[in-house]
Amino acid sequence: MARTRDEDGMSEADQELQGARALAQSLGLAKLDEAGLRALGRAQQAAAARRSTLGPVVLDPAEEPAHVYRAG
Amino acid sequence: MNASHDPCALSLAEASALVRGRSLSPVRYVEALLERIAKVDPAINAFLRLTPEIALEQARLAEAEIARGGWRGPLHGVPYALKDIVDYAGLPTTAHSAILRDSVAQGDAEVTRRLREAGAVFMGKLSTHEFAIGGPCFDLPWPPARNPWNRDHFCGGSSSGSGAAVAAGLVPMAIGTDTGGSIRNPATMCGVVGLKPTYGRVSRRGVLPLAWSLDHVGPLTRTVRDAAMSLDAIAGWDPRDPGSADRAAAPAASLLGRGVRGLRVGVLRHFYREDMAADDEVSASIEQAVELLAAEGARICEVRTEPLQRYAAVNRVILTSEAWSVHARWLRERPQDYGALTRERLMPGAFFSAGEYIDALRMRTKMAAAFNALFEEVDVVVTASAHDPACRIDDPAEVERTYGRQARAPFNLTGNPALAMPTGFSKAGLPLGLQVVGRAFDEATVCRVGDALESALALPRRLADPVAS
Repeated sequence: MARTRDEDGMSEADQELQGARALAQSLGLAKLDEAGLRALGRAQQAAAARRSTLGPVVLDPAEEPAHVYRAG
Repeated sequence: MNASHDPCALSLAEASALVRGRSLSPVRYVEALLERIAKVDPAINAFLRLTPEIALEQARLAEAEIARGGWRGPLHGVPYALKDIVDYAGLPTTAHSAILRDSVAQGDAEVTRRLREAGAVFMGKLSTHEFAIGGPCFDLPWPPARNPWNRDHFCGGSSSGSGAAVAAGLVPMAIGTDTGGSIRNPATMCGVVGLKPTYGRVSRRGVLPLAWSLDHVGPLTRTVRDAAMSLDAIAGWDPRDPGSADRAAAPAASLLGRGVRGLRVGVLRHFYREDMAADDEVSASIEQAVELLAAEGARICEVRTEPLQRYAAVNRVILTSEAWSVHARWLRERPQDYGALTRERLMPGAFFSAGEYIDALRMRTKMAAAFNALFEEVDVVVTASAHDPACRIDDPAEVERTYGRQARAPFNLTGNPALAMPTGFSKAGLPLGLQVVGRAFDEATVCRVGDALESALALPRRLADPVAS
């Protein structure tokens, strides 16, 4: 990790951690420790990957979800 | 088969007949299993909570009742165990988690109630991935279950203890649950049969949810016949489960022994050859099984549906969104009490918007309709279950790499019944398997095909013995 520092003397790593904390805060996950914050970052990437696998969702307005799921 | 054989090696059907005929005492059966559990389970951690007193008491009651002429049915006097997200009245349902370590069930789950009424004998609670999603984890109050064919390897999950216990001969039947493949994954990894029924065919009441619209409850056993018999004991409408189906269906065991002549079998080959190339041995074992079905008179064709990755993505958006709804409060209040892997697998649900979740539900409805249209041309579909044999349990990178390499999740989305069954072993001695998938509520045809394939494969009957290996 590059140890560049911004004007406030924060390293890149510190900035990433601060960003992760803000993200966690926004989700109500303020109690995550550093390992949990890193996992949250990976979870965000995993969600993005799923989103991109879905591709563009092209559905007609008439195509509704089943209100109560039934098979067959 | 008579009672002088090792009772632990009996199939459920064999044991049931011997118990009914009073040549196998349920008490003796339980004692034999407890002996084997004491010898084998320390190596594989299948059981999280063994209940010998309950088992012996229920066995004594069953024996006495049968002696009085009160045989209740095929599961009377037959031992079973429950994945520890399924309630048994008076015992903790821990979900293998510190969070629920002391959470005692006030009543039986519906599946437990039906097994109790059937006179089955409860042996205990089985290891699971934490909350049916996080595993294998080594940072939980109990160790993870290990593969009884090679304890250095993963046994699959999330019904990990269920698969391990059945393969090792610790019980003839275990109950598991399946949201993205969690009955069928351990069934395949452990070389046993796992039946995910049609959505709604077995009540989920009293089972800790992972994702309500994807959760299924079903049996793991050593034979297809056993799975069919077990399903018939636990299936049926439950008005107290909002997802329960009030729909008549032929018993799963009703077509066993009829063979496959004239049945139309669609091979969903692109799932394991194009979309995501399976391990060569996995692929070869599926093709060999298809050839056997053809030799038995089935009409084989290739079928196609949406790409596997699209099913996986839709499943995961729905699963993690619903799971986030289940777990958000605990994750916010006490994240440190989860296993690290569980936390990581649950948190993506926080990032999907309501609109994305609803889009996934709309896509699901469309994809399910398209998949079910295949059954105008075929009677069952055959495809892969796992794309790889079980990896090493102590290799987190390999666990993650192989976690998504599977073709099970599509049938949680569509709700179709899906049977995972063994097809043989890899050169390294690890189980291989496939899936047979049918029309909604047509477990009877799925089991008919599975039973015929099992006979044609004629795999040697043996219990996994992790103490000997």
